[in-house]
Amino acid sequence: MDFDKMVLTYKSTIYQVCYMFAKDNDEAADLFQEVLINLWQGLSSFKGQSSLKTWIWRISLNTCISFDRKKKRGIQTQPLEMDIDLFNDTDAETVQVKMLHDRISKLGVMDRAIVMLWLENLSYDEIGAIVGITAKNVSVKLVRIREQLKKMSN
Amino acid sequence: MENLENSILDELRQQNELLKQKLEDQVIVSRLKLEKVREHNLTIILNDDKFLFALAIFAIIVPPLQFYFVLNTTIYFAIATALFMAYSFFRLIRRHRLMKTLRNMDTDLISYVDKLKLAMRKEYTMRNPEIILLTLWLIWLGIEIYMQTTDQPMEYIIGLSVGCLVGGLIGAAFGFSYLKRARNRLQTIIDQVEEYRELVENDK
Repeated sequence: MDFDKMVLTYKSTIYQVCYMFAKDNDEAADLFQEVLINLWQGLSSFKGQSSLKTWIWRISLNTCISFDRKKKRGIQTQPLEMDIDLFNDTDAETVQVKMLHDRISKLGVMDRAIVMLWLENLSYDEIGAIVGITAKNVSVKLVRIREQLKKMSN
Repeated sequence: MENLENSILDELRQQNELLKQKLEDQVIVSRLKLEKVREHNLTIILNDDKFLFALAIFAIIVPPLQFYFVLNTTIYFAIATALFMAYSFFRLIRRHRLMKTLRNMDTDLISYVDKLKLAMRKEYTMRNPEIILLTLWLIWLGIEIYMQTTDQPMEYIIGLSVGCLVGGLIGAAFGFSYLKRARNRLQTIIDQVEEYRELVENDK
């Protein structure tokens, strides 16, 4: 499998996850880079038991959940300069996107993952496979998350 | 009420569509930059283990020799330093490999956090003997230095001791505060996963 082609195909998905778990543009870039490294390292062991999309979601979420910005990896890698800055752009669309970021980043990491997957129109079964719960529990959690979001709006 | 809830979700969906649209319109990262950084970083990562081993060999050989020949410490202290370095690097390489395996594990979020929890628990269990070993080594180092400075004026010895003590305490305080923050951060994630686990258990 061509790694660069895979990354370019799924770069929006990867960036979306990194953006939702980051506090600023530098952190988003660090996370993006870390996800790429983990995808590359895991590619040889990817057996195709799940779809490529599911695998990319899993690696991206697992990386973002456990990423420690201060610690990073022991050996310094070259930073990846991003051509996007959703944290500092000020156009009307980005303001809306930032509102989405603010709301989602107030949720716990697991809830954040579920809501992101739901927003991507993944089925409850697919969400369950990525998170590790049943489709029925995905719907239970989504109801609770909806309540949390409602409280936030109030 | 239901309308309000749905309007929030509708708004989120709309905002997410805007995000997707923006990401479609923008480069995010160019192919050229991606290729350049990938080539560079993958070389580093592939040689990651070799670099750590080289560093370990250096640390096991050079500091003990320096202690013995330059600082004129006892041979026992030099050997103890070499053993301590070997043990520290053995732990570092093991931790490094474990984290590498964990990071690219193709598993669901709950199982991933479980494995992370196990790894961290093991890590914390091993930390206490390490701290004891480090403290013993530092005390021994203090004694060795004291033995070298018995002919020095008392002010020099007191100054050196206070300097080492203050430096050591500041270093330890920074180290412990970092570890505490990292542990709290992980604990928050683990607590959030517990809520999900309850759902899974109730389902059985």
